[in-house]
Amino acid sequence: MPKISIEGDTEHLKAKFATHKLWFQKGLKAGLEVAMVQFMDDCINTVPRCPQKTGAMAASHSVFVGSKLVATSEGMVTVVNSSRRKEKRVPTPATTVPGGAGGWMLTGTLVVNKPYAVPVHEGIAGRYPAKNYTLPGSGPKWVSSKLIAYGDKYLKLMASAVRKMK
Amino acid sequence: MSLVEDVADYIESKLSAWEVDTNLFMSDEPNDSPDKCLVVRIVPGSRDTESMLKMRSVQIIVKNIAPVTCEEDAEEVYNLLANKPGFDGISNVFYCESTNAPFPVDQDDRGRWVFVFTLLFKKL
Repeated sequence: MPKISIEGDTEHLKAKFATHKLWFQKGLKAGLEVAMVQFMDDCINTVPRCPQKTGAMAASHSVFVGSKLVATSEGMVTVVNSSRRKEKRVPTPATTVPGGAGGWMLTGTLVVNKPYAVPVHEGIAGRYPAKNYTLPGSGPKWVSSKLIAYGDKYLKLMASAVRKMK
Repeated sequence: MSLVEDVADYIESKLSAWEVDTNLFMSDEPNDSPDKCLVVRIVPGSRDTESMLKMRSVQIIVKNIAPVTCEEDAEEVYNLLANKPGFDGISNVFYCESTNAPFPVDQDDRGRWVFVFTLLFKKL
């Protein structure tokens, strides 16, 4: 059985690969930051929107890439303070990632830093009146539904950032 | 039949503990529901792809006074549906993907524990 053997010098490719790997990583990180900010914006402003009564929860979203705080929603929402239980009607966006930054993996994290956020997100009428979404267009699953509906858009934003970095 | 009806009927046919309109409800839970009950409902998070694939988010809510039993009930229903291909009686669904596994949300106003999970049904 005849055999064909091919030999090549890949040293120059290795150097190029190392450079390309660097800008790819940089582009991916920059793209994820853009995508996470867009994701947070969609959560608050696109139907189903984040429920707002006083705006304190809507203004308590934070997005992180790794352990870096990229943005908070504090400036995106007007908070209406109520005279009743005023101390609880303030935005409290997280400034650190709960549970770590994901180790070596590049991770994007969105935190809604209010204790009642989970039952309201799931639309469960528990101790909180979660079924009463007073803001028109607001509703349950304002975070997870955006990943299903706009997941492709976020990937395209990341791809676009990688291309620009090249 | 709607997807919610199909899913409710499928659960009733496979798991004897659940009976439609007795402790298994579609879309909403009546005020006089039993302590152990299950609700199937459509939630936001659906879309149609360019290739006409329909993806529909269905949320399953399981309630029980006892938290351990509630978790077991939720796991049983989850294992019946999540990450499985094809279902008899649920028309055109070729795969059911898990969006999240059952987790405890809170206790409701009657002191019942609430476990919840969401499934993504992919259909033609």
